[in-house]
Amino acid sequence: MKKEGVWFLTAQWTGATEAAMVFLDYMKKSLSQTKSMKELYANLASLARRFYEERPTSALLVNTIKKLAIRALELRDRSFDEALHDLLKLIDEEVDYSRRSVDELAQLASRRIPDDSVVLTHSYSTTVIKTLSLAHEKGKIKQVFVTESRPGGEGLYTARALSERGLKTTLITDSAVNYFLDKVSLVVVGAEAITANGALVNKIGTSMIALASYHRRKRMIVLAGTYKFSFETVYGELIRIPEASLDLLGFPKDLLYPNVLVKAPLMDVTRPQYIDAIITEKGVTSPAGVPLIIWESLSGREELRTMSIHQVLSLLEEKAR
Amino acid sequence: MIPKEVLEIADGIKTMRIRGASLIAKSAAQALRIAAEKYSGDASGFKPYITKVANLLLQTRPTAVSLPNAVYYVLNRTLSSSVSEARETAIRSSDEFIRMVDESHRRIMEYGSKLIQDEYVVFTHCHSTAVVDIILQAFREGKRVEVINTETRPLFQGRITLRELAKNGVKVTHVPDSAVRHFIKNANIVIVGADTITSDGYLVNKVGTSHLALAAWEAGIPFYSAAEFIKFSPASLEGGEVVIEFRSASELLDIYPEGLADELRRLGVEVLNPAFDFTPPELITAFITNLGIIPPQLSVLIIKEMFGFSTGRIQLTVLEELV
Repeated sequence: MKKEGVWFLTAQWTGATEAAMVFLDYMKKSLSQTKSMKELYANLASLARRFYEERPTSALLVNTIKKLAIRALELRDRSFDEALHDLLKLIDEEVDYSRRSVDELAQLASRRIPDDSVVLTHSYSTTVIKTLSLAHEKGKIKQVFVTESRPGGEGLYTARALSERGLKTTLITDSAVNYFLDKVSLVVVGAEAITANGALVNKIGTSMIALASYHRRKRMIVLAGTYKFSFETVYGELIRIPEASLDLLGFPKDLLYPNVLVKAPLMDVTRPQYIDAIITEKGVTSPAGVPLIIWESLSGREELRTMSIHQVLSLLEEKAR
Repeated sequence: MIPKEVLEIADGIKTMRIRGASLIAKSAAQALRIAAEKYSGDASGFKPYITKVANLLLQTRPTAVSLPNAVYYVLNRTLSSSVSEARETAIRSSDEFIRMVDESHRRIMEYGSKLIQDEYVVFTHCHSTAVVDIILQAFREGKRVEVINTETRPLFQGRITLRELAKNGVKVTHVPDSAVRHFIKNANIVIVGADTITSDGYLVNKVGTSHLALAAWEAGIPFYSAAEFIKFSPASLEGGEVVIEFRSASELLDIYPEGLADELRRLGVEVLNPAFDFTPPELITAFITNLGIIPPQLSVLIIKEMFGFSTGRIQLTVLEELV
């Protein structure tokens, strides 16, 4: 994980969806190599813990880990072969489901993009890129402004992806958003997580863009499948925000005076008041409609709702001992 | 014949060897003083001669607001004096102008530091000598002041601010530009510098300043800009537009892997890199000026007091010919 891990560890250039795909891929390989139930639990626990520690903000990752773990715990009385087979099948289903959901969501969202749109987007999101490409195929997009998205600079990868798909793309610094908002007709961003009150957790800088676009009366829509909804926050769990390293910032070592602190959180929180719509694979909702969708999609899955990621991880670790 | 020293100063401003609004203004006034001192022709030829020198100086950096302010301060007084006194007036008003610039810096430091209370956290953006001096003044007075400052992409001028404050013992928290809204709640006051201020109270300053102002406004935190009188634009009074400089794409791309930057260029991704942005008066609590703390709507007062209303028209006419 370390080698390819640089980008994952620092949340650089992968969107949350891609990160979850990487997790499932690693998990499949890791589980396939196990030979006993105990080993299966051990591998599941350690990989889940490592990925969670690296990206605790990702609701998709948390939800995926919980689903896998809860199934694994349910399978404790089965034979090893049966359990392994079942879990590998679940992983395949999850990968499939995510891909399909992103496609459905992008189809739906691209309908919501008006003609002659000048779009502003931030950071890197598979769903945003797919949606804008589809809208572009329908001839709806005039231009896309992409922020650099420090720290990490994922905006450069977004600009590359959009440009490769034929969209007219303009790269700007994070500070220049307000300067160009005059020309923008719509702000479109992805999501790391949506909380119980409809707030958006996303790459740092999103909340500044939301404030500026609200102030200038530009609409902002968030593309977030229901798998990005953070069920835990319904029960008061707080989302921990990781920070970028000095290396990622390229911070000069000679400036590290003892009285200097460098702070670079990777995510921030956008108030629901600044969000015009959240588009899920199930349809368009307002931030206020989020709790409803959370309850709806969890009906009959009591344990997914009531168990926190911390409880799930420690149960797994107990089994592995 | 324009003296060699004057040409050297003009070249220094043009090549940005001489930079920073105060230094540009003082150097331009100094150049006019030298030109006047070294003039050896007869009295009747002095006014055309000094006008020629003035035009030469104005052409070096037509968009720097402090430069025409310096040149016209001296030129207006010189041209309106009698033929026999013109040379004396040029020398005297150059000295006067340089004294005023120094004096105005001292006063801003004094007034600004009073806004900072004990245990205050000051948020700032980019690098401004006036802001650094205000903070250091408050710090020297024994106030336990802390600072949050931005990196200021693309050129990282925030690192200059960081060094100047940190080496003097001020505690600094350094954050990326994208984290401005996230951290504004930890601050008590925002103080930034100024590049240009228009007669209707808009602040033109390093791109990203308007984000900081908006975030401060949302959080109910006062937003100040420290601005010597030379930053106020008489030309804007006459409707003169402040032209925002767009700088090169490589400033943004250079910190990334070469292959990626090349690929973006090959794909034709446009990179737009404006150096400044506009902060509207309604987001500005006040300007800290040498005349005191004034609300942005009173910018026109500074222009009247320091330069006179007529300067605007003259500046604008000449600038339009030059640009």
